[in-house]
Amino acid sequence: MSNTIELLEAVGRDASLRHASGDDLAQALGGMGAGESLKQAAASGDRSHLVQEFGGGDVKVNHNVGQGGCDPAGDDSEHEPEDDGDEAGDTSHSSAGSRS
Amino acid sequence: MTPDTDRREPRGSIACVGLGMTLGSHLSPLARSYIEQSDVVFAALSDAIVERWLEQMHPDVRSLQPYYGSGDKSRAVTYREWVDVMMAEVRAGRRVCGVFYGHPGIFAWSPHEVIRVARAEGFHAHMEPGISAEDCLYADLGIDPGRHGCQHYEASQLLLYETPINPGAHLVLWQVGLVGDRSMKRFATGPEYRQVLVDVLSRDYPPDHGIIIYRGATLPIERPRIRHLALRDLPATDVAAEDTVVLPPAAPLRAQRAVRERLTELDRMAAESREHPSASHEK
Repeated sequence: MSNTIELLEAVGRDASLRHASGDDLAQALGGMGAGESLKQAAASGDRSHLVQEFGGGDVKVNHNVGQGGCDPAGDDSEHEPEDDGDEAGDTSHSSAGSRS
Repeated sequence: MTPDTDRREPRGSIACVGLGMTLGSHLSPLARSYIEQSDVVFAALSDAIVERWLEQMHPDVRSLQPYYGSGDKSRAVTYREWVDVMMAEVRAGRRVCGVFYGHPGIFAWSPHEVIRVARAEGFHAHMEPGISAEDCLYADLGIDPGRHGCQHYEASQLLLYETPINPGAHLVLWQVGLVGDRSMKRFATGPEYRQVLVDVLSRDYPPDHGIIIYRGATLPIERPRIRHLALRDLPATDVAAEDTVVLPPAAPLRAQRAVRERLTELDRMAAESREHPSASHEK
């Protein structure tokens, strides 16, 4: 696993590899000792080949409050969301707005 | 050094840093230094493989993912817990690093809040920017936000609040995949919610207006995912939490004649004073 991570990092910081074609990248990775799953993932651009090595766990990417949602800074975040008057609540603690 | 200072408790601190979007490509030297020099690292990242990468940089990386829980837990609770667990270590006198994907201060509540709380309690707190999804979007889609202007909204804002749209500028909508969710318990909403969004957007855009669904690369072996479709087709199109919707301008920039004439008059006066400097001094 650590070898795969190191190879991914090497690709990420190498201008000659980062935007290479899938076939060229797979060939380069083969020369660097990459496993079959990483070579297949690189050749196809499909991360699903790495699932067996790293698992396919669900990763949440939401970090923001969301407009109209509950304010985590409020006293009771289990309440129903503000059903909103005409104005948004205090947004001073809210983020500007997905993927950061 | 006095004996007092020798006995002084170590002061905790926190730095919230961005890991950027693509493994290996975006992490700044300074953000990496914050990670490596901290006592404990908390991580809210977009990808389990990226989390493994971070674990190679520090022996004590604690994922914030488990706090999402499952089922009926509000993300409001989750985000507050993130602040609490990070602050507990700061109060214990440790150097804490909160690592967030992209930029830690964009569409992220907890990094801003933990810095606010830490500073209020007298601790040193700092945010270090990272390369965000927005930055990648500009590069991958070839958009210069300075050309026509660019508006960014979380998609739900357009549904829940009166939000004037300028169709002459780019419109970038974040979190369309869960547009209209007010429970903070769901991570996706369905086609009927996206239809409401399309209905709102149809006030300013024709139904056949070409839009883009964009997703940046997380792994360096990936390419950005860029889908082109008509606005009317958005409800029937799968949109994940990682996807961002871009509406290019639908109208040309319109000249403000009166303001232009005023600027012309200013230009004329400036030219005149350059030609006759003594006259302007006499005024």
